[in-house]
Amino acid sequence: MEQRGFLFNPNRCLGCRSCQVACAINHGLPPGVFLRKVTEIEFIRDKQIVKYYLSSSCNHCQNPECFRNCPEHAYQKRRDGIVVQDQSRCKGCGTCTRSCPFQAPVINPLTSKVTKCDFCHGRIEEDENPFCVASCPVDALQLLNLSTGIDIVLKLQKELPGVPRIQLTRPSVRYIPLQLGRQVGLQVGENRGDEHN
Amino acid sequence: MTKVYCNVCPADCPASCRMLTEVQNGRIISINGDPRDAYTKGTLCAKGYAYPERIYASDRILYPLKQRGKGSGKWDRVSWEEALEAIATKLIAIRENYGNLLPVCLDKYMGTTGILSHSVQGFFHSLGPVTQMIGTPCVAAGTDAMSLNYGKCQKPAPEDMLNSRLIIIWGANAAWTVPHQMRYIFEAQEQGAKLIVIDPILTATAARSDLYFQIRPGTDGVLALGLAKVLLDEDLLDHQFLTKHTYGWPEYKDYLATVDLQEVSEITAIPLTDICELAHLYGTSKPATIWIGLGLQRSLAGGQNTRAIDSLAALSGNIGKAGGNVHHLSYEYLTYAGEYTRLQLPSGIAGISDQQIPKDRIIGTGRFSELANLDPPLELLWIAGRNPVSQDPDSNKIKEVLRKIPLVVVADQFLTATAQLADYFLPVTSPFEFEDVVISYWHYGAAMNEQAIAPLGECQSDFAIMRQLAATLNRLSPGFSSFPTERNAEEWLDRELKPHLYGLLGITHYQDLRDRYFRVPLPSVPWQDYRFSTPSGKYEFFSLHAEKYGLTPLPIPDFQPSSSVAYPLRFMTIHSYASLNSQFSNLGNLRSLEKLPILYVHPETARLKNLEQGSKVKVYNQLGEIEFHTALSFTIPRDIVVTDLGSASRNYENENANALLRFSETDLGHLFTGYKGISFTNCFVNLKKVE
Repeated sequence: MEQRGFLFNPNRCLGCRSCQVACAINHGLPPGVFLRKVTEIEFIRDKQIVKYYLSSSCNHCQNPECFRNCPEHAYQKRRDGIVVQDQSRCKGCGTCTRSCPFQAPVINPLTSKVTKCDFCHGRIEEDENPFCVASCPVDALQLLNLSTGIDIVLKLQKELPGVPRIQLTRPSVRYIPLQLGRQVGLQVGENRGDEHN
Repeated sequence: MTKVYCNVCPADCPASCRMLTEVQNGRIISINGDPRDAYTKGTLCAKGYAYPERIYASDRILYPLKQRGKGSGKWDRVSWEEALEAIATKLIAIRENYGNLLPVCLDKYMGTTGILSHSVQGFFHSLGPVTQMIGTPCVAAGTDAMSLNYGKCQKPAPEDMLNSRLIIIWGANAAWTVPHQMRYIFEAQEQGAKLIVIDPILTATAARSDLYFQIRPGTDGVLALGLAKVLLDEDLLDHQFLTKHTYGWPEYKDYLATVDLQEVSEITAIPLTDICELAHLYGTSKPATIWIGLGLQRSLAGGQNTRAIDSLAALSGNIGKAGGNVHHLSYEYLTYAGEYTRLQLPSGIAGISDQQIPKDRIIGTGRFSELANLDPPLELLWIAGRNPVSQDPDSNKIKEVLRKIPLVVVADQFLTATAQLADYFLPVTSPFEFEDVVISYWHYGAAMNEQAIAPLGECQSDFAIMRQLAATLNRLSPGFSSFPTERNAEEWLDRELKPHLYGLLGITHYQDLRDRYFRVPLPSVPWQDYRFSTPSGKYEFFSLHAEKYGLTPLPIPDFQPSSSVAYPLRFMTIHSYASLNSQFSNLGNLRSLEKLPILYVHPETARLKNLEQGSKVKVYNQLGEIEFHTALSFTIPRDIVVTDLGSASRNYENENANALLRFSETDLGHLFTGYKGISFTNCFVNLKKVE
């Protein structure tokens, strides 16, 4: 079985939210409902500020909690590893929204049913990138086929600093290791090195 | 049946992205980037992707409205005939009463950068002398600075950064304001170039730099002088260039000898060793380029700051070289446009002959307090492509002035903070509803907007509105306007572009722009021949022209004002990814990215003010107060608080940040645009927790 996933480069992400809005608009979601979200990570380490942006959506986990917990069996894991959800089965109970450690499935208030990232598999089948990948002005987000072992060849990481480590569900996302430059003139207190997001 | 149309974003932004618009049964079903766009490679910003929401927004106004009392919110729908006849009657009455039309004022700016929107100025010129607000709140000081140093403001092609070994972004947050440029910067970085960012805030751009310098706002010129001093001390100079191609080097050198680096360090808040390291990196990495952003020039000494920074390129011999030079926005392409465009902001009044300058009464942009005290007084103000209440300093003063003007007309798509004080609101089409041409002031790409859908409701383009008003005027008072009402938009655009731009672009009609990416072929590396357009024909460190305009001939910035005991914190507004000035921030998709008006506060400052993450806080000074929600961040200095442009006005009824900003001018701007620029960085406030 294949496993498709995302490759994210925190050294390129601008926090511009193109992916987030391109996805939402092209999926015709009501304003404020997002299948992909960009968050800012900021904390102090060694008197320097670690600051970067993380764009995340459904991670199409190898052991998806949504799939395991859905009482309506609305979730499916496809042969290519993409986790899809069948709207016609969804009763909007929200079990998946509570069981997903990444808060990927969300309720669409227009339908009262859950919706989530489907990896734009329809577009992929037509050799087009998902809206999020296609909209990134700097190629910070790309597609990855984890079955090829490329993540090991490229020394990709499974986690990023300052983000809770959640590996139980085996999320299909890999990261380029974060690089940081040197910052001059910052006013980070001598004794106030406690991390905060 | 789906049809795809070519469009281009006309927002006041460097990227001018080409878009592909899918239309089904007369309705737009998707808008995405056009992969044929050589600059953007087919991607848009978040705002661009939100266009479908903007076009069909429920708060977009689709019919002409008349307000029963300014600011009352009681709007009545009227017909175009009724609205334009009332306005025309007023114009005719003004001329009868005053014998001229000076009581009529136009305030038009870059709400749309489409060439056709210049027909608004064209209309007002057709009436004879009127009052016009001119100048630019955007790039006035920097454009003048570049013009003083080089004779005119020229820039390298954006892709020339790929040739740089060192890129300094000075006072710009490209990641949020020109995200596409970051692609070229990242590619340069991957080829070994270093990225340095100088900014008071550790922005999204600064976070990706190899080296970041947190500078005290407004002291950029002082830092540049310090760097120049180190270049001199360490002999990292291009002596041949200095001797052959510059004017005033001996005087500049003498001045630099007096610069005290310790003092530079204290003023700029950057340690001495780091100043030396930065100078050394810039002086030894060849070629090196500097991108001078808009932020730093909107300070009191913004012009001289820009001149001083730019002088580093001359000292180090980076001028005229691929991968070198200084990147700065330029409106050079507009000098090739037809008569109406050339007369316009922000190209200003420079470079056109006296006969072409209409005998208008000229008021500087944003100077609303002057509008209230004119003789003859203002009777009618027409505002198009502009939202001064939100964007200009001292919002409350502007509101007060708008209330006093007998007839205020606002042409826009939404009931902006300014439109709320209009007597008539005229609904303007979105860029997808009429044909137009847009040329980027960054990459010089030229693209056209096809009409993808019929105008929504009764919306009309600015051009159609002006043409209809001219016809109405001439019906009521034959010969009142010389605006060519017989000419349609296509003819107008054709005539505007034909004289120069068709030849430069290699096209025979502007509709050819649909077919592929076109660019006005200005040199991708300027000044290769070292023939400068200054009075001396050389690069000028010492500018007699500057002296004529009341400045020190050398690029020495004046001292900056600082905070006071009562108002110890500098309040800065920054451009957000979710809005373009006041545009786009009303859209649900973009508003929901940041639901509340946020004030970024350094944790130490927050502790002193008893604030926590999420606390409600009042920002206040002599001019007023605004409520925000606190967000703690170490990315800003202790003595600065920051909000994003549009944050406070997220809800139209709310105050906006400029309500706390007193009007002040930058040192330059009058040379090129006729008026000095506006300083936006000298706003001092205090905080109080809202219990």
